[in-house]
Amino acid sequence: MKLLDRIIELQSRVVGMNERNYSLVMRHNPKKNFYLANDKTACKAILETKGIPTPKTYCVVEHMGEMIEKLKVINDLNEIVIKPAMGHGGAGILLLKRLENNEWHTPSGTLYTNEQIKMHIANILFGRFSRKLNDKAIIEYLLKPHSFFSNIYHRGVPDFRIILLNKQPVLAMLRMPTELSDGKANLHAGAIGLGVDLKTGLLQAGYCQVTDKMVSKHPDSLVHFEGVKIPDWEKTYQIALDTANSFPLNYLGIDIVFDEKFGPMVIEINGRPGMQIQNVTATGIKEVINNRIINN
Amino acid sequence: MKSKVNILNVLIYVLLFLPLPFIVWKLATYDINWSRARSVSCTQYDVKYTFKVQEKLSKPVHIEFILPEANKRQSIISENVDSKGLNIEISKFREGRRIVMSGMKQVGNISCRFKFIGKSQIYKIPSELKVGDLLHNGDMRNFNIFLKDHFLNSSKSSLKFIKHISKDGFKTRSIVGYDLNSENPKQLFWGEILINKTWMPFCVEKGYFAEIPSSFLKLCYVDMDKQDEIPQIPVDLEIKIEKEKLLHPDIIHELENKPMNWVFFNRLFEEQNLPAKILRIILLTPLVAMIISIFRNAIGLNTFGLFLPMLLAMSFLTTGFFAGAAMFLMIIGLISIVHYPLEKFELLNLPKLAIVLTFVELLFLTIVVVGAKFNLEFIIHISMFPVVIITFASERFSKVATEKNYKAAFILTFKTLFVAGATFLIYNSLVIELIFQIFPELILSIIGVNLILGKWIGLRFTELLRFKTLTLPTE
Repeated sequence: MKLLDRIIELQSRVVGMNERNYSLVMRHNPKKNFYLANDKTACKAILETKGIPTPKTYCVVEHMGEMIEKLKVINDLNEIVIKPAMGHGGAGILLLKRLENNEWHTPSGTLYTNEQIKMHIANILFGRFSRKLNDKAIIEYLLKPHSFFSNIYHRGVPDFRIILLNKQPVLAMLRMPTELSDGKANLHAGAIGLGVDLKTGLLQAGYCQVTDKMVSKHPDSLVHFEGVKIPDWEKTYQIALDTANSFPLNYLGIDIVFDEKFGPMVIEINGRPGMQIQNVTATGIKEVINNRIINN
Repeated sequence: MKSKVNILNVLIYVLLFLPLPFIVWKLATYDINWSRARSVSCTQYDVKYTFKVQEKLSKPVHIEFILPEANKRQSIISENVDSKGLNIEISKFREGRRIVMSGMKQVGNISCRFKFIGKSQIYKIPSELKVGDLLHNGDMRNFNIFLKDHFLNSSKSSLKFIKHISKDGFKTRSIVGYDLNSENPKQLFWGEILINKTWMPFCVEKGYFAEIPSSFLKLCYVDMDKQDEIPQIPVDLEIKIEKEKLLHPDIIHELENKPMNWVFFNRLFEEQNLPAKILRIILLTPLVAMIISIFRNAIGLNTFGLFLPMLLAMSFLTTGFFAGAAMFLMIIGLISIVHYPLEKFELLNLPKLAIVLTFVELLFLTIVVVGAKFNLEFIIHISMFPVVIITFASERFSKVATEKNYKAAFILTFKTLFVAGATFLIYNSLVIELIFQIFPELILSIIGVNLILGKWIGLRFTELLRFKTLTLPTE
């Protein structure tokens, strides 16, 4: 009986894949608006018109023919990100810094010549990362994580994931890269998720999906983060609200990076955000929604 | 909005329970002898004789062989003799048929093909007959030991046994035939003893005493007393046998006359020369598709593509489960080996998959060559593994390996294989097929279950494990 009680309790708190697909995605996100979440160029267009901070787009390459003309932009730049407009899971994202000899290098030290950059963009256009044949390559500003985050761990770009339902924030986490994830902020690659208290902006315990363990300090840098306040959390929170209010999608996962120079910036939105955040924050989505109904 | 849901609920209940009265009615009126249910299946042997005549073209050839005749115990269907233009003479020959072909040798092999379904029979020896005496012991259980001691040390031991018994005054004869269950069928002799006007079979080599298994194909008899010659197999004859499990013709015949069932499809398919397997696949696919949606939505086992396990299970019907599973794993292994460097070269998807497929096809050719060289029958079967599955599997594997990692792709491979195994058990079951033929209305219930699943938003079983930490008391 105890087991059955636990199952019933879990069922009343947690949203699973079936319920996410049926009650959250199908009911709240009309199919005709879904392209806004899938296509980063469409997403950024809305963010820019609404004045929500997002990394500056240097250019968007849509066809092979216009590549050389458009790539002239990067001659004056020293740091860029190249990403597919429709990729997901971080595939095909290239972070590049210019070296003195006019070559580029990635954070992990791989060298890229201008020719190789063109090859990468061609790969994006041919749909290598999105499996779509009409993909576009976005070249944009390279974010530098605020020192608060790089002090916890120096590699990669940690980002916030905030889930909103009907424009109301439900859960938030900070995804922090690790050695295991090879600098990626991907939970299934081994990054740790840190719960964020929506009201106070305090970091909570972290959770590593790969090892299925709760942690209170970063496994590599051993920096203790539990209970530490995130700088300017109110601003990040406000940006999430503004973003949700700008899109005709009512169940959203918003990814925000805190840049050293420009503060929190929206990097992308997700119309079908995953359920792992419930394990990270040790809170069920239904639990939050139900509590909110009771409190109101 | 609300009324929409209500219509759906009504529909679900109707679909779920509508078949029930039909099933009850059929159970009540069909009057089926359920004790026969154990033998719903029989094995059909597809026998093919091929004559590899050594003569040169346009040289006279003469071929003589025996074909079996249909009787109560053995049914012979779809007989097809391809004489390549030779003259054929068919004559009755000691409860079989003698075929004589003669003429000029033409291009191509002469072949003959038929399908055979046999019945197993057990005879009752009248107790007043002291057959036991001649075995020095009335105990039947010792019969095999007795035979082994006395007759098994030589070839054609059944013939010796018959001779031995005929000395005691019984009328006997020998039967020439095949045991189609043996790997390489060679001509087999067994004996028959006339007891109470019934010829009762005895096969010493295989240990049958007044009993004949369904796999014995009788060609003709040889009467030893009359000094009959034993028909010789032509030296250039090659026999190939393919087995297939089928619903028993008796059961089909019995049910065909009952109203409101789909048993008539069996005859329809047979008349159109469509394999019985296709009918089974068609009839059972709704069930299998439902099982797969349960695996995914209620249990939470992800697989490569939604219905790849189903396609895999279908091909396992040809290759057999273990050979098919081994082949699938081999293909996945090869795909990953080829895929890894291509991924490092950063190739686009389609050309990458084209290279992967090329290597898989080369693997196939290698397997066929190896199979042919060492004469491994099952390997030739493996090579019929459908290309569509491999294409699909490599595409999915590559997607997961690219977007996640190889570990995730391998885990998914085994989950796919597990679900394929479960669905194979359904596809392979003649009993389930018969249930759906007798009660086709069950398909409505399956639609009902799928409607429920389509509205079911509970946690999947694997999610109970995934979120288990959330139920642990917090502090």
